[in-house]
Amino acid sequence: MSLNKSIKEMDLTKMKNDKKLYLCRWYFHAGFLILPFLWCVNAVWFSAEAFWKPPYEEQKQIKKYVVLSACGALIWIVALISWIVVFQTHRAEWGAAADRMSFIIPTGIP
Amino acid sequence: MVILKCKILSLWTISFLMLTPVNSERTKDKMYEPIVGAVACFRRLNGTHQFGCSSHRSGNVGVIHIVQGEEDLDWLLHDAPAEPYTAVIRPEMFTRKVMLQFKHSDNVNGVILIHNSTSAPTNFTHEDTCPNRYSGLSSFKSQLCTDQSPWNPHGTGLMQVDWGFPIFYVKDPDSIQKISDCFHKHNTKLENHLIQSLCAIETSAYMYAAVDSKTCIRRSTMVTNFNPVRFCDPLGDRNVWSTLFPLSREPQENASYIVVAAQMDAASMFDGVTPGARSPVTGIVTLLTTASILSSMFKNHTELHSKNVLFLLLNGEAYDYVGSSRLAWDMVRKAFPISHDQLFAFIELGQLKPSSRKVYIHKYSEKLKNFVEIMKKEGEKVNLEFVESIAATFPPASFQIFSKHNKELPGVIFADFDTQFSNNYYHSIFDTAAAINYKYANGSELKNDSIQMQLFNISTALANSLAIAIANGSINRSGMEGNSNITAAVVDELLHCYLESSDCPIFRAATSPGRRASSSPPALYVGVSVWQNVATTLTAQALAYLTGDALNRSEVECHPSSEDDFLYQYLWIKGPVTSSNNSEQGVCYRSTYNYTIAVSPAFEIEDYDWASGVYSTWTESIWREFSVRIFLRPSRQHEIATLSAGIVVLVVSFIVVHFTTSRSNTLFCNTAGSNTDTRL
Repeated sequence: MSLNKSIKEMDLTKMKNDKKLYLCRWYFHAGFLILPFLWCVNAVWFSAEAFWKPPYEEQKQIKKYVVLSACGALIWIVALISWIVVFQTHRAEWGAAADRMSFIIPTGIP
Repeated sequence: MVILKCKILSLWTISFLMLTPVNSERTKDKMYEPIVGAVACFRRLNGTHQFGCSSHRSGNVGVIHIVQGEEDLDWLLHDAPAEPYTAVIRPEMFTRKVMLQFKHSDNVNGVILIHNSTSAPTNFTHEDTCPNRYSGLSSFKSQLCTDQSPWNPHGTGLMQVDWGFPIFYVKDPDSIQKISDCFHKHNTKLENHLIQSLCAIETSAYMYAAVDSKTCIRRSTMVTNFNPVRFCDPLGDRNVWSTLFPLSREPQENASYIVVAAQMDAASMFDGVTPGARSPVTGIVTLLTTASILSSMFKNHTELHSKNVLFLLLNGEAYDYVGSSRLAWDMVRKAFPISHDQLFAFIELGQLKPSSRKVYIHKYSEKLKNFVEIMKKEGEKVNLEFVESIAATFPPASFQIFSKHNKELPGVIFADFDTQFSNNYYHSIFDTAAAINYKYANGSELKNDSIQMQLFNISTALANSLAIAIANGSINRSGMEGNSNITAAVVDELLHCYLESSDCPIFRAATSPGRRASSSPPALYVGVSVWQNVATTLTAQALAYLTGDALNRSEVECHPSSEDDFLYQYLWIKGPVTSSNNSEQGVCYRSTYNYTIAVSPAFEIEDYDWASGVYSTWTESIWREFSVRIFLRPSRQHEIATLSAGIVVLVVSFIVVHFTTSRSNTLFCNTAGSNTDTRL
């Protein structure tokens, strides 16, 4: 029963509006601890609340956090993808420096 | 009632499944036929490049094509439709021209070399035309070996190529038969290659290391890495040395040493197939015999001599002189008991399989004129002709390294060649006992022109010349020669050990009593430094056995002690098998033999410049396994049909599952709602 209860609490449709805002804000703030995935989750999870639900008092703020989270996540994604592309294409020529940056060095290739 | 019916039905199904006969053979085993005894070419690296072979991570798959001649080759390179192919060739086709065509062709992704006859091709050497071209004295103008006047004229240099595919060597007749049968059964109709199933071979020899030694050593020693992987290991092992007189019996400051050296390692393209009969076994055996004759001559001479003999067996010399460069380095930095300026002369035994009675002398300095004259005289006594080589340059030899450190050091090499190697199988899989016409005599009388007699005569001449050089004419020579009780049988036995079986009388006598020996000859490839080479240990112990003294000590007392200043090594070995000697008993041998490390200084010096070429930088890649297996690869049409069938089944199964789920209540006999969620 307790599992069911907690699952139910994660269901936004059954949550009170002030609780939703609290949760959305909390996710947004936590994202600053270099946790872009939280922003991504926040943006997706609350997008319906922010844009498609009938208006309610906290919705404006939720909208703000969702948009900011989405922007943050997007910046992260762009930055990460460009770094990964640059690193993977230049790893071999960077030599020792690239090896020091790697946790796992692939075998059998430069 | 409905429920009961359902249960009976399912029970019936289960019992039906259980009663069906089950074949437990794995699908894998039904599909693949392993090729046993296949040995691979693997990857080696030096300071700047990678050489050798590697497969893809999961192995290379190619359609088998046995290439018999030019026509097959042309078809394979240009017209073969069902690429990739794996070329199966015989040694005659294993030439630089053909192999490089394979390398540059998109049609070929692997090569299998097969050989099941006893005859070898007329020449087969994949070493460079100038072995160790970039090391030794190569920087000196007079030592330059060029492709116009090479030492190894038949050398194809294929060992110095970075192949993009695996190359395997198969000599097991059954395995060759399997490949051939499969090829002839499925692949001979060339025009049908696109529409029928073909016999394919999967060759797997994935190498971890890449780029060069600098990169792979750096990656292997990375400390920030969470997942430490070893990529490569330095080539290296141990050198073996011993002295005729123990070091302390002479005044250390003005003692001088005549070095008698030989190389100890062989090389080839394939893992574990390094017979090295002419290079280096003839040299090793001559050195061991010489040492044995000399020590028996001087056994009872305890007076001081101004000169001593240092016997050196150098390891890793095939790879830019690993052993000698390390020993010379150790001598300079006083990490070896003898310093480099105490060396008086350097005599090296090269490849020795004289075709007539001629042995060539390659001389590096006029200072050895006297010694060479003595040698010539001693040679005549045993029906050998020592001839001075007319070669303009000095052949590849360990002496080059010692000469680098001590420019004044006079050196001489005894070898069977004049201006270029007479060995057509230098550093290859065919440098075998057959190539030097060796047949184990096993006690029977030896012919005068046999390799055993030739090597014994060289040893005798050398030992007598050395005795004269050491004694300086001060003692009665004729008495000493009589002292030696060594005969050519020793050479016969030693060659038997190195070329035919390590389970041989000398190696048995020279190892501890309980040891079980392998029946294959010792592997003479230097190997990696983290792994001790058995061949080195056996050689060292044979040297100790042939030159040492048997002591009357028990096993517990058989160890170095302070009374002989730790100048000797003690060995508890089986000793010679005589009628009075119980074969399981041991004997304590005392000898001056010892080991030194043969790992290139490049791996010891911090921040060594890997591209400088000063020291050897060879490493060997790590690999997990070598495997070769054949199987039937379906045709493209067959593959497309299978894929389409798979997609159809997938779609149908979705429909069926959807249908089943929506009607589950009627289908699975559940009373409606009996199993719905009651948790709420």
